[in-house]
Amino acid sequence: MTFKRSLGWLILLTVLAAWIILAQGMAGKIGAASLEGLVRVFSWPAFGYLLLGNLIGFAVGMLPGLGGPVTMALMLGFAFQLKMDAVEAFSFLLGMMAVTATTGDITSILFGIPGEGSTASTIVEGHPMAKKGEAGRALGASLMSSLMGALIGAGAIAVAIPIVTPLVLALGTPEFFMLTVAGVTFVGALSGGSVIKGLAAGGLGFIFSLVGLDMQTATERYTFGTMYLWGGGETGGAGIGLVPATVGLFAIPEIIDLATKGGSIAQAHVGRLGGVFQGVKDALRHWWLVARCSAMGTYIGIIPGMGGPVSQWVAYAHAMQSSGKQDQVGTGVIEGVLGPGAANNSTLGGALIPTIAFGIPGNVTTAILLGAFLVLGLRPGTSMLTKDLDVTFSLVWVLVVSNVITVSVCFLFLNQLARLTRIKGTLLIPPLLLFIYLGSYTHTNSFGDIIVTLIFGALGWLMVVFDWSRPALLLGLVLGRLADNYLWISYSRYEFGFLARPGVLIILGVIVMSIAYPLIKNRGRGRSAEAAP
Amino acid sequence: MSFRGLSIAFTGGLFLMMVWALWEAFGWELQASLMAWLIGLPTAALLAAQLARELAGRPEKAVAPDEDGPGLLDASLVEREAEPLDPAEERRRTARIIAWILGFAAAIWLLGFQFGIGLAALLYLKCAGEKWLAVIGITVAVLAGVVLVFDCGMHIFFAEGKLFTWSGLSTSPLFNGFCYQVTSPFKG
Repeated sequence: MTFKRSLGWLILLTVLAAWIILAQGMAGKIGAASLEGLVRVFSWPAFGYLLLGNLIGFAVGMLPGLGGPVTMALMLGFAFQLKMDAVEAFSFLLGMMAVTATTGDITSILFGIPGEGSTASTIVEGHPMAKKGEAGRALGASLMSSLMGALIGAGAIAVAIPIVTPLVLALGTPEFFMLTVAGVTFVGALSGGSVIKGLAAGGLGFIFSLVGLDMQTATERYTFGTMYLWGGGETGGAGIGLVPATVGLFAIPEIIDLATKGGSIAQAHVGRLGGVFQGVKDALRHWWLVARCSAMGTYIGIIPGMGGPVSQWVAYAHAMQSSGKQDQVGTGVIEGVLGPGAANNSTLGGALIPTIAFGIPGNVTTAILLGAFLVLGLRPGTSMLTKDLDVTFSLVWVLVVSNVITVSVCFLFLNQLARLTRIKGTLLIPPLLLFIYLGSYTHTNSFGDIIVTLIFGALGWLMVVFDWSRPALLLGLVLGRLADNYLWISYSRYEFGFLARPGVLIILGVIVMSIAYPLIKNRGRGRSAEAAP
Repeated sequence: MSFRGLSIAFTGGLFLMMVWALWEAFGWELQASLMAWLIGLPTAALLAAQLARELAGRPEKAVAPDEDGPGLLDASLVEREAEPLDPAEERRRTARIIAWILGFAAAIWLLGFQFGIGLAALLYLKCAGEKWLAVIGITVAVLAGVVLVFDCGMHIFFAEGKLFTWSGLSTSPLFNGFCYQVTSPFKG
């Protein structure tokens, strides 16, 4: 057994021991609530709503741009119109959300367009596999790792209930600020093309996130006097909506590429999907990687404001680094499919933990879900951890059951899904443009969303042409508004003294290492190249 | 202009944009400008360094795409393994698809989603040389998706096309909120 694996087991056993100590007083109650939650999920009409939610989530996940949060917001009213009780409403809403990342991976692999914002990283290795004729294997690996990730994420809620408080409270606002910077730096520094370009792209993303009306000071930041850019979208008041920007950055360049190169998405022959089970075997063979990436996804999900868009990239970077195949990036490395697949599915479970425990939503989805909690008369915190513990456990079961159902359905229809890659590019472009424009339009139901998509599409295409990192820019945009808030709170409390906090210094050290590592690596590579005869 | 010249222009444009962003932040209160300064200054420095490197003609120090494949974390650089295209033909195709992307947006703006996307899809497919069966099939599928799924199913509010607003046709159920207006008499 390797040292790394031994260390992993040691950590796992320590956490387990801590959990047993903390949970020993709650064991009976947890067991009863868990069973009650399971029965309620399988009762009628809750199970019917769960299936309906799964169906909508399946479609929404596959549609580029039409993200889960937007759909959840749209469906929220529908849930209340039908006068659903708490478990029915969560079976429907959470059942819908639970599967979007799973089916979003399918679109990412087959079309090279992120079905969900949280599945963009799956494109990097998954889409090249589809183009090599290994769509089945990539899908099999992605689905299996998604299922494992979702189960681990759901399990994390149950496990975390007794121990969650010290985990989240250990970090303060300055550390959260540094974590957002660290997230962007990791992605920027690992952009491959150039560390400078990667970091600059992340910085640009941060600046783009400032566009809009600053709610605290009523300052118009880079709005050009336009009301549309005042914001109020899902990025918490930011003027540039995440959905139109993401769709523009990633989908428009892919459409241009598809139309320019011609042919079908799969340049090579898409073989019979015998490779599906090879993908499943890949996931099982790399179970420790899947478990690690699921744990990362869960933990990142716990941190407010982070979530699928961050966890997928962190998991991807970890998967590639630990695979030792950094020199094969973008060529269809299976580990690069397994890591993000697991992480983006476990994130929802993690994000639900602070939502249930403290009423602090981990991401946009759980923020909307928090609204549903309150409307349905549920109070996050003590109430959901004691009186309504069965409802809390019903959330866990919804995640589990939804993913089992969806992954099973996906396996049944994989042949048909993989054949989509052989459709002629020209036939795909009109429906894809429909989803691109419709997906971005649903952000604020304004033509301004389409203009933002076009602007970011142009930027994304130029970044592709000149080899700049789009994910770094996107991550800066995602985390920027949050970082802005954390920064101001930290500054107003400690001024610049917050930079001397131990937690901040540790994260800063990690940031410096993440920047230095590729530079040192390249220098070493340069020297060995010079030394070569 | 050469590829290098275009690359320098792009980096220069980003640098100028960042300088402008910092300049704009001058007049803001500290709370609004702190982030812009803290992140903007190092970003501007990085962009200036990159611009200087490109102007000096220094090659990228990091992993070269031909050596290590596409850049880590950037899906865009995944090259299709098709036969290499003639550069002039590639430029023509790129210009054509960009025009179509803008054309679809213009059609939506002028005619609204229901009609704009349908008309643009029909024209695009016909211009791409597809057979009528495929043209009509895809166009109908696209229209059905807009009307049945998004309008009737998800009740997304579609803004009316500017042409209908200008011509006064926007009150017709055919041109605005088709699903809602058709089904509303039955809702009591």
